[in-house]
Amino acid sequence: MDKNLTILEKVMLMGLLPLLGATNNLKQALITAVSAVLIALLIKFFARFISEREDYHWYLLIGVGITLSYIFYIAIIDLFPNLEVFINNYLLLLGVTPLIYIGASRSENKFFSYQKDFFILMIFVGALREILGKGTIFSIQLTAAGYPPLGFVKDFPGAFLIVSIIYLLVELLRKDKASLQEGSEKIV
Amino acid sequence: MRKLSELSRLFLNSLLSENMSLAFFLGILFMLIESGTIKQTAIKGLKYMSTVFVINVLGWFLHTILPGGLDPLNPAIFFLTTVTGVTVLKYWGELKGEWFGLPRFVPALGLFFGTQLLMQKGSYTYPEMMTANTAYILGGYLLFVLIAAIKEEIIVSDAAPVFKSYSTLLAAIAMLALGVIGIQII
Repeated sequence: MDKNLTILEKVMLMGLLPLLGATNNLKQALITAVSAVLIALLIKFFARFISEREDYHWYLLIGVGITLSYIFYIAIIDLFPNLEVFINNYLLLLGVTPLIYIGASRSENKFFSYQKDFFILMIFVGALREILGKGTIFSIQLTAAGYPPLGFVKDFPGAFLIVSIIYLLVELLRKDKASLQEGSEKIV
Repeated sequence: MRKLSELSRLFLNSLLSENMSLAFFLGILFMLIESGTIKQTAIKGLKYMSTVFVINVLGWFLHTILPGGLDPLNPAIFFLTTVTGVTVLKYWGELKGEWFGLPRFVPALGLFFGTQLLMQKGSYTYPEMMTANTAYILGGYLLFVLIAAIKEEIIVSDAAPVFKSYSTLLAAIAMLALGVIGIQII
């Protein structure tokens, strides 16, 4: 299942933890996505000073990642106290999310594509879960109060379901493109 | 008697409706990518979950003996216990190789670090910690083997290749999660 995955599919796997846990609503998704991209950039910067990639070098980077995610967690609560309700442990867990270490990887060199895709995905999943699960967007009521279109989407089964549907759509779109390319090759 | 019933409730909640992997998503990525055949996964699961159990107890003890003013050091303690867990598993011949250019242990970090964070968040006493930890481990192990079984079924099925992907596996987990919520309601 891990073979021939596109960047978007890899992003969905590597960033699965925040994608499932920090997308209850759009604000939470936005805060986590911005923090993740900034932490990933800082990790990429620190990784430049580490030439080797032995286990203990990785432990050092992961230690930096966990420290940064903790600093972000504390800093956001301190600087923006009104955002505290939108912050959960998944911001702290960014330090153990594989996606933020992609800048330190030797074989994956499209760092910015990974971060861009992750950011878009987080916003998309966050918006979708908030609209379907609560009937709101940025806390603005869109449907009749108390009557969300699909209430269970705001809970954990909904997170799995939404991410699986998006993954399937990504797969379908990719297969379409591949089959089109194959077809054009055959015509040629 | 009352205490026992509270612990029983904590055990059932931690096993089902607050399952570490279904409700808190800890270790889901690791389970998706590490699960192989059912037999392999059953053996692998014993190694991983016993390690998680031990580092959870270790993390709980260390953060409990730490004075209250030093709480910001908790992530550092959990990181150290996580590294210990990874080292033990590597000694057992697990988590070797790479995964998309990252060491194979990186996807497992969420499980190790996250469960300790979950324990800390629960502010458990020793009996509560042991009960919750046992339920988390048991629930995690069952889910790991179940994911391996679903993965095996998906691979051998006659479905179109597009459905033989993580999307189907995630959808199956979503159904399991819905079932767990159903049990909670009952």
